[in-house]
Amino acid sequence: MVSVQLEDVTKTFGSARAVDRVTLNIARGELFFLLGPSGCGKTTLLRMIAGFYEVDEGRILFDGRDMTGVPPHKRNTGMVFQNYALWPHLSVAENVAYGLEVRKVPVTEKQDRVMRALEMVRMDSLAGRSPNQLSGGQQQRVALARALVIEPEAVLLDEPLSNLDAKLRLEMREEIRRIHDELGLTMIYVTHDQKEALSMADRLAVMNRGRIEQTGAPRQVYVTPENVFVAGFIGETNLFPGTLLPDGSSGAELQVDTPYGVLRVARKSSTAEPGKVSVSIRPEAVSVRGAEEALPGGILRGVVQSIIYLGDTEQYVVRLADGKLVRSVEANPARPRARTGEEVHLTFRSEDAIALPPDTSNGG
Amino acid sequence: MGSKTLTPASAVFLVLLFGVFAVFLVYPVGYVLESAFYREGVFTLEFFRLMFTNPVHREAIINSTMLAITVAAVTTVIALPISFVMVRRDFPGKPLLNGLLLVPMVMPPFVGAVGMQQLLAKFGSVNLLLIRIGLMSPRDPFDWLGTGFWAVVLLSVLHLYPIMYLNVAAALANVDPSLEEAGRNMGASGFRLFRSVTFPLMLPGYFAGAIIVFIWAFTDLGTPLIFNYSRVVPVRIFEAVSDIHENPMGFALVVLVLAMTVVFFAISKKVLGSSNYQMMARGHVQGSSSPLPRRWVPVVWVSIAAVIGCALVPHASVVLSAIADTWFMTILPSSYTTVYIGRVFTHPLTLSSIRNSLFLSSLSTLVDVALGVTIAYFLARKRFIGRDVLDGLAMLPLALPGLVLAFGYVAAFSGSFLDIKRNPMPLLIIAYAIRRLPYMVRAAYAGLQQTSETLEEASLNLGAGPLRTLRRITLPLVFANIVAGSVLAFSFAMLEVSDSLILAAKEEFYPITKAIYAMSLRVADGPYVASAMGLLGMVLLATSLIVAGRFLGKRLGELFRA
Repeated sequence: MVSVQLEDVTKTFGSARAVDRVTLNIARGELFFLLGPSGCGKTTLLRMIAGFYEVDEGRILFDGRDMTGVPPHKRNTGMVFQNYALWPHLSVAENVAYGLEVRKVPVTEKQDRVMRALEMVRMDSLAGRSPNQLSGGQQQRVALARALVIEPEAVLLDEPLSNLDAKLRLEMREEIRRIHDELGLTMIYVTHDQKEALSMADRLAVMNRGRIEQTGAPRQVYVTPENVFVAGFIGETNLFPGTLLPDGSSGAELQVDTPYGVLRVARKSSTAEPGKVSVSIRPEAVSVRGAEEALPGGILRGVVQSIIYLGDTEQYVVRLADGKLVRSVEANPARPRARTGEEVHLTFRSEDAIALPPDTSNGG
Repeated sequence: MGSKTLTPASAVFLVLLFGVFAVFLVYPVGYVLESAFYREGVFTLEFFRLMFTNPVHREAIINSTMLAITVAAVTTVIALPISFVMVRRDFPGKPLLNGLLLVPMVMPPFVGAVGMQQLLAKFGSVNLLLIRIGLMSPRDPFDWLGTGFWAVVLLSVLHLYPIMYLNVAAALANVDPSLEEAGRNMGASGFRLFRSVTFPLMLPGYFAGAIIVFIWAFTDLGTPLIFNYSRVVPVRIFEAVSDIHENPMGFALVVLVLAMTVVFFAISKKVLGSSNYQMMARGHVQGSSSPLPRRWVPVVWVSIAAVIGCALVPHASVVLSAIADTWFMTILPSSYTTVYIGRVFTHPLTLSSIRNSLFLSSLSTLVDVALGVTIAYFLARKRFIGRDVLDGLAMLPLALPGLVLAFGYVAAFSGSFLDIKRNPMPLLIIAYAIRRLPYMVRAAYAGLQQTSETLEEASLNLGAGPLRTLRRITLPLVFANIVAGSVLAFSFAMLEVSDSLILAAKEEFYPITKAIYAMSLRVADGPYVASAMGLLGMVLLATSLIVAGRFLGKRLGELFRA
């Protein structure tokens, strides 16, 4: 196992900067996620770590060893491809054995390791099959076994679960996490699925337009996003533009003057300055209350525009006086909190609100 | 693999590839052009003025044009309705008929011509049959062969309609059914729908097929030679080879053929390029065919079977000639023998020609595999300056008639160590290889395209180097395509006509096709032995196509399309 360091890594395709000065430190044995929308550069970054693309600027280090100029077949990484890339002309066992043959592992040891790898992913009973005879989930497991069997310095996974159906995906998440914990692997996992990242990662990096927006543990990134993009990409959020009043005006809490009144906010991101900010409040932190219930705290008034009942939760969309829509998610909705068209109050706790640098993109 | 940029080693390879094309494709064609337009270093159009004023040449040009137009028209009339039924309708036995329709391709038309002479002669089988049933007077038998024009048309049509059918059927299958449904939704139907929607959409594909057929018919040398119909351009060019250094008319005629080919392919490219209909249709929706009404099934069966039957008459005539002991003034041979088939393997000329052909075809196929796979690999996996040029050069031989290339070789390399008067083998190998290279490139390219690059990346990732990846992953995955491509390259090389006739100058170097021609001219047993050789060639080509079809499946047809 190695640690992986990226130092100011940059890659341009033509005039487009696919990866823009990315610096990351991925620790030995860490399950690290690169998370971002499609086209954000996460796959390009992963392919540079594997050596399929050369780094234009910056360096990639494995345990401090500079990987610049080392071709992919000498990097000893194990990659799991999005389309699995199982060789159709080789059987399951032969696919898994390939990397060991290249490494000239003696026959008996090879057979032993192949079987152990297949057992690890619970595919030992299908060793003689051809990849075409396997379901998507089974192919996925074989691809994983093939990457693991060579005992790579780092395992690279490129959207490994995106071609699986929802239920199988949940199963494989646990499976990969289990294997990671059992083998103590350094894994770098690329996905656009925030739930995958939140549920599995030790740490994750959110990428956008070739840059890293934020790095941290899942809870940390979810609860204290550093900017509007991260807040909106990981989970849903409600954003209220306003002006952050100077510190100390109200004890420990911050105050943000918005068109909907002064909101009390417990935190601000390190990059938010007094002046223009956006206040981010997650839908699940917003409660819908009847108009007659008088409540303290930041209170917004509006009319229920729509209600979506999802069994475990219920989603309300409330229209404020100026037309802004605010989402609220109520957990365990045994009975409705309000009806469509009803006037309601929206409440939230100040510790669930965070002030971020102003939203520069359109809409928000 | 991984990086699309060139390594120094692959750059060297690439330069070598361009070198091969420069010497054996660009230079000979350039040489012909130069010889046609320059006299003693001065630009002149004199040869072309002579060509168009000389009645012999003018007649040849007119005849060849008429011949090609007639063949293209008749093949269209045959192929269009068949394509419609086969693509749009389902009926019992459709796959069988679909396969049988292509069977006539297993024999070059000039071999069929050898056998057909037996049927179409003044007292050949056809006339004897007509006399027997009282439709013709024995004193005044009809001369079917006449000048030879219609005999050549007949043989060419019977050989080329499968090519036309493949192209038209593909064009039709590519018409998005939803576009027709939209037309029907607007109230169009029947012929109006065909004229306003279907035909315009399939036009590019049809046009591509028509051009192939036209050029093939225009430049076919073997069939007119057998029928002794010398008043066509290819035969004039063939005759010009013998006095290539004294008479510049050959150059002018070759340039004419070349110009015509270029113009047609340019038009075709424009028609195909300016109307990117296929780009708009999202995915080809298959299964747009509807069942054929029951009462039509026999009609369709009989019609298509009749076409196939007619097309197989030349084959039957060759088979009969090959095994006929005596066949004189009777409809069918009066007794049969295997003597002529045996003689193929004992006669010194035929025996050496088989040896020559095997040798030449094997080597040229090896050259094709080496060049074709490399080119396909560059085209499919690398990005480099001149990619389009390489693509164009590799595909150029499709548009370049064998006649033009062979004539260019004779002229450009005369006096060099490659001179055909010394030993034509090297140039024959190269000519065969260059002519069939597009099939190889296409077959290999198709394989590489279907093989996801991540399969190669997975191998690199697991520690295998580029060469090992090529050997263990890439080549096995495209192996079927390479086999199919080489089988085709080999069998077509075995039966290559114009290059062989022009380049194989001495009897000891004759390949099979030229030996068939030479034998057919001999009196006594000549035509029978020629037919026996033709039968052998037919078996070879049929076997090859079946083998190639096994490897390529339905995509075999794509190799014959523009």
